[in-house]
Amino acid sequence: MNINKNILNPIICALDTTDLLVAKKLVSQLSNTVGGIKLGLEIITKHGIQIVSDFAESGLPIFLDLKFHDIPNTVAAAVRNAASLGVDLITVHANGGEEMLVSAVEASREFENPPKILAVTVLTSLDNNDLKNIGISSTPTEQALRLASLAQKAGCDGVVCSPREISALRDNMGNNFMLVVPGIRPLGFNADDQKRTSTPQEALKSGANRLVIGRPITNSSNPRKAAENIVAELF
Amino acid sequence: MKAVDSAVEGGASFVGFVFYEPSPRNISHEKAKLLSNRTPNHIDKVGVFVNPSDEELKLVNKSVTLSMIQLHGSESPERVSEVRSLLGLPIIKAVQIEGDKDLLLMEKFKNIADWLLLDAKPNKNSVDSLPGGNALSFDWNILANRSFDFPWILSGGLNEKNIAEAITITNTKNVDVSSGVEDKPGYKNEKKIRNFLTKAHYQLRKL
Repeated sequence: MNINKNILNPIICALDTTDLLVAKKLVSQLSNTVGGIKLGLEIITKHGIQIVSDFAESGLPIFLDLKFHDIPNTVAAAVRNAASLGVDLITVHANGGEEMLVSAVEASREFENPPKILAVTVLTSLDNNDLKNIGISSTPTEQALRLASLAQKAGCDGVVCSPREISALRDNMGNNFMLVVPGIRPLGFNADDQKRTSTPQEALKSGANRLVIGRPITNSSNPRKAAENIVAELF
Repeated sequence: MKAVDSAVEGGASFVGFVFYEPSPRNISHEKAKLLSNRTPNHIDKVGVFVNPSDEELKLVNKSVTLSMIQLHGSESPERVSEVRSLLGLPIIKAVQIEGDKDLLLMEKFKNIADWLLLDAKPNKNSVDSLPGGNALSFDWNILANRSFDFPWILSGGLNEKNIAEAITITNTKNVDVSSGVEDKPGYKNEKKIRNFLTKAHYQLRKL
């Protein structure tokens, strides 16, 4: 499959593994097929932050999903450190509040090619009942909207949101706001532990900008083929 | 009817009704009236004509609610201007592009038409050629790295397979499709309409 490299490719592959060799092999298989790779807490806490530079060499955009949530100064410093490793997307928890979000955005803008700052609103593993148990009486969608508005006001480039929040967020936030959506399962895959799922086509149609897909690609016996099949449906 | 519904649901900004008898997409005034009434107000309803007479334009405009007129023939700048004042509606003027030199054509119309629609030149050697809707594309690289100081729409052979590349190369903000969402001329496919719109919206957001 031959895709113009400049075309926006919405698929970000989540490297859901702690095995560095497996991760590196995956990345070499996925070059020119996906629009980015996501590195999360699992692999970073096992091998250290310096592995980010190795992955950056692949040329694939890197989504560093460490969900920073701390006092503003600390988060700003963490964003600076992450940005200097050459990542493209960084997540922070919107629950950290407006000042923390502003600090993260300002720290990122110190760089020539600033990474985009994405706010995490409501984790996709949480449902109504889970929210109630942490003292939030709003529905996940209401809460996501509230936090997304806060993030937009603070200058964040977008949010991470669940598939079923895409439409409401797109309607409320306008077109110039990035919606990055995990919990996407191509047709024919089980939902695993993500409680709110959707297909890539549905998600893009509702207004998503990036789709984070893990296991359907990484657990495949032929990850490249799996990724190509997903992308082929979209192009 | 289903084609219009799919376009509306998929987030189209314009829907077009063809009033040109030789075209397999030509529709009656009655049918156009039904479709136009079915289209929400925020979507522009475009009447597409090829070298129309004043009588023809007035007749259609009387029975069908239109918000824009597309002129897809060899209308001169003067004629475009006349039609604009005759109906009091904004005009989309189709300009056929083959090479760099055709971009000069756009200069002639840019202050007269409200929008320019950049389409491919029909194949001169084919007897079946229509003024548009021939599933032909022009070389998008002609438009690469250019910016225009007027509103324009990319057209010509766009479909769900090439729309991402077309938007990426030309940096257009508006796209037009007809044959690319059909099974055969005049037969729109709802699934193709929805897929086209999804892909176009995604690439147009540039994020």
